[in-house]
Amino acid sequence: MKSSDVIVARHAWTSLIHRRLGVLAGLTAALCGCFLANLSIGPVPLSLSSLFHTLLHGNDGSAAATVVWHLRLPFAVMAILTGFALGLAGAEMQTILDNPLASPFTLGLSAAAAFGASLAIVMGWHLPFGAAWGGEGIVAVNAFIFAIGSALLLDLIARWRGGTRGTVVLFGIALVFTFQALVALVQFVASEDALQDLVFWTMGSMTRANWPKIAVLGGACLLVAPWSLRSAWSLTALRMGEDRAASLGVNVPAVRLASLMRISILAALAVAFSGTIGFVGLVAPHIARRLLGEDHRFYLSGSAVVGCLIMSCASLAARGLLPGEVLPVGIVTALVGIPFFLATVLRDGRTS
Amino acid sequence: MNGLVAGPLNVHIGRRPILHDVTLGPLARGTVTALLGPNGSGKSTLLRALAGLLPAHGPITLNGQALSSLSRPAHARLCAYMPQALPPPIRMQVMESVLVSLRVQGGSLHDEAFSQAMETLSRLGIADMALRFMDELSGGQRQLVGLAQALVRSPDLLLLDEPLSALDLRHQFTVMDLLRRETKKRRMVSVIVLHDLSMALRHTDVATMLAKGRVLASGPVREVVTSAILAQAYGVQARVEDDASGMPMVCVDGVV
Repeated sequence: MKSSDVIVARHAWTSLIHRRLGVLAGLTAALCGCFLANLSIGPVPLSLSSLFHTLLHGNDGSAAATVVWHLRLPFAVMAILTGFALGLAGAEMQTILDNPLASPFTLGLSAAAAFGASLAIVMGWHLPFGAAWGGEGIVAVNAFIFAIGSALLLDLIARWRGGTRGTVVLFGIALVFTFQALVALVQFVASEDALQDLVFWTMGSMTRANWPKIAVLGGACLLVAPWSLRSAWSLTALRMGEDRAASLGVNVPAVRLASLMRISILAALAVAFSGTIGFVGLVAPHIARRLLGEDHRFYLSGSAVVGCLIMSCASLAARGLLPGEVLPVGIVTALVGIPFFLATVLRDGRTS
Repeated sequence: MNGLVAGPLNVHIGRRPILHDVTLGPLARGTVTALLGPNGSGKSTLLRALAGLLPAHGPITLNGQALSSLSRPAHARLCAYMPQALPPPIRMQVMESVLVSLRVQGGSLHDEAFSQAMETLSRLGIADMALRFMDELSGGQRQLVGLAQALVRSPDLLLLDEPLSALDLRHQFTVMDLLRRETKKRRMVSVIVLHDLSMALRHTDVATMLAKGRVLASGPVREVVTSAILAQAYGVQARVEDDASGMPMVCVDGVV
């Protein structure tokens, strides 16, 4: 073994890390650009200088400030946080279930949350201390309970069948159909008013964002992201196969359970506040893997940032596609997501 | 007590008993042990039990230390296990995957880790693949990477489940040769599941023959791989002969 070979390998490794950091920085820059575009473009166009002025001086009561602080900023921030949560949750899910089709949307977490939410809406449940939230506090809590429940059910199936991933995915798909049917049932018996609220869930939209919700989702992201990154090495090892990871000293059941907890927290809150938004959790991990490889320090952060970027672009497109209308962002992500996803899949199919 | 002593071990998967009172060893440090037997005889299960991946009823001690009392990370520091399945073709560099194997237990990626990784890869003859991605490699090449992941950790106990299954003739030979040298040099206990009996005869020191979850024979490999035991274990009529260069080989003439 020549020492020069080691130096060459070390150098190649360092440049690989630098390239990945560069990609992450590029994605973040694109996200910042998109975020600013979200704030300045609209029926009342704002120049960048007046935008910065408004952002720096707080809400001083002027028309521009009201538009920014009450409408555009909450929507834009909520879109980014939702993308972050769904991107990170999808990335972790694809790793622990070892399946490229796994995402909160495809395996029933979103559907379960939507069912929980629709039950709360239609039954007219209220939190005893939730006056400040209107009826939406219990909706979020209920969505959360159902998402956690379905995540735990998935974990139970994974353990019970001795960890065969195929079973978990099939079970997840069964969950999707079950909860979709249940949501349809609730819709059928719902009153007209409740039905309108329900439609919000099935389409996904940023228009109900407000600062308390942003604080909760933002807090959850801030809490979960470092927790996720701490198990980045274990999750990377898990990509090489469950037995291999276990023989390297990874406590696979514990890592998987912790990961499922994070996934349900992120997915449930995102769905609870923004409704069911598909494809972000599915596509973002694929893009991140392609750009950044399997090292989960980069893959997890990359998927979260890509999720933010997709949601930010989608919310921009949601306002731009039909003049004077704000489309539900869930529709846009699906329309933009499907061709993108097909392109990725077909390209992967060709190379392998 | 140096080396590996295991058993009597009983292992169940679900409600189904797989291993019945299996004893192994004592296997001295520096020896290579072949685990032989027909399909479904419990070889892989025994290996996974030794690796701590399956709950086993019965004692397993390595160099005087009870392995079952150790935590997962502590167990992993002493013992490296390579599963039968090949490493998956994922978007990860060969070098990276070997580094993950070193790093997952904690610590930082210092110069020593890089030289360890490169040295292991070059011993296996794949140093030139260090910067290639796993999804560009063939099955056999990935199997060599899997071996590198296990060897780089310089364990006391090395457990390999069919390490030759995807390798060509030349690599089968060099890998077995390398395993024997490394086992001696690092005073490891190596246990290898093999299907190729001639390979076992030539490249291992001791052997254990399993059949239907029980030990059929155990001892020096020449005493385990015999016509009588092969007939009993596999149901074949076989001869063990020395070839022109004096190396032992197994010829199968038919079924019993």
